[in-house]
Amino acid sequence: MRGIALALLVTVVSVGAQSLPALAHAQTAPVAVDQNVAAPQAAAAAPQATNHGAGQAVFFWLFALITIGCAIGMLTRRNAVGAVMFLVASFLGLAALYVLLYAHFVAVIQVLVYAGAIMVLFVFVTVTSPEVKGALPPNFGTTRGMAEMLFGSYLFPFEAVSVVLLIAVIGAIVLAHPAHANVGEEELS
Amino acid sequence: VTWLWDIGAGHFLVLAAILFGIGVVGAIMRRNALIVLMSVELMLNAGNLTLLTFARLHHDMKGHALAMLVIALAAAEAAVGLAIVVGVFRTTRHANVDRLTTLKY
Repeated sequence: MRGIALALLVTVVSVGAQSLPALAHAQTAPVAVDQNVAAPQAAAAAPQATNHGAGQAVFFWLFALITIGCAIGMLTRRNAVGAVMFLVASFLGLAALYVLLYAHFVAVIQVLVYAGAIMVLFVFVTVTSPEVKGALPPNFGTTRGMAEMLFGSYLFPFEAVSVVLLIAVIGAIVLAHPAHANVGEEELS
Repeated sequence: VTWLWDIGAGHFLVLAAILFGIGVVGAIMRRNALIVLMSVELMLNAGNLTLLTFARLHHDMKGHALAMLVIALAAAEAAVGLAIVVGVFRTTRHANVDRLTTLKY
């Protein structure tokens, strides 16, 4: 039950972070990331970067602690359901970190597919922002940019993944169907 | 201490490395097949975090596309892996990977 409460808490916090554009994606933040890697002195010299960078730092450490703490909690749980709940919380924290990296679409897919579909599977066994973003190219991280890439130059891998998903669904049904339950029983037991 | 509030790409990469390490430890140490599968998912997510960090660093959305493909493949892996776990549990009544030694001999 503690894991479920924690997952709900992280959901609220991560949704709150995504609805705070002034803090979660400050306009000087992309410049700050590049300056930190390329020239740390330049980031220290820019006085305005520290103001927005402090908000980004607060969110980074918060979600990094949530992600790592819940991952370690997932490892130390005795029962599988508690471990699944801790992993859901960890993935939600990761989704918030993806928002900090301006990967809004991947963050949404992370919540929908990972914390939604994949983890629901485990339990059953047991955005767009059109504002200017500094030096980033237009449509970076938005749904439009994602669509132009996935249905443009990455059309073949996209279609190949759909075939892989279809094969996975068929394979899962074949493996888990009750009609094949006694196949290989004597070898495994 | 500037590294506390100057969040750069290195912070995200170190975090991804820590998450990957936790996943490796879980996949090796835990006996429950479900926990092992979840540790693999954690490792895939650490790789995704690295991809998105470099996409952010180079202002290149190719990393986003690769992260999407990784998420889709992780979904396929989870579906097949969990189906195998269900099948193993149905025949052996346990999911302990250390006791599943039929294929070793």
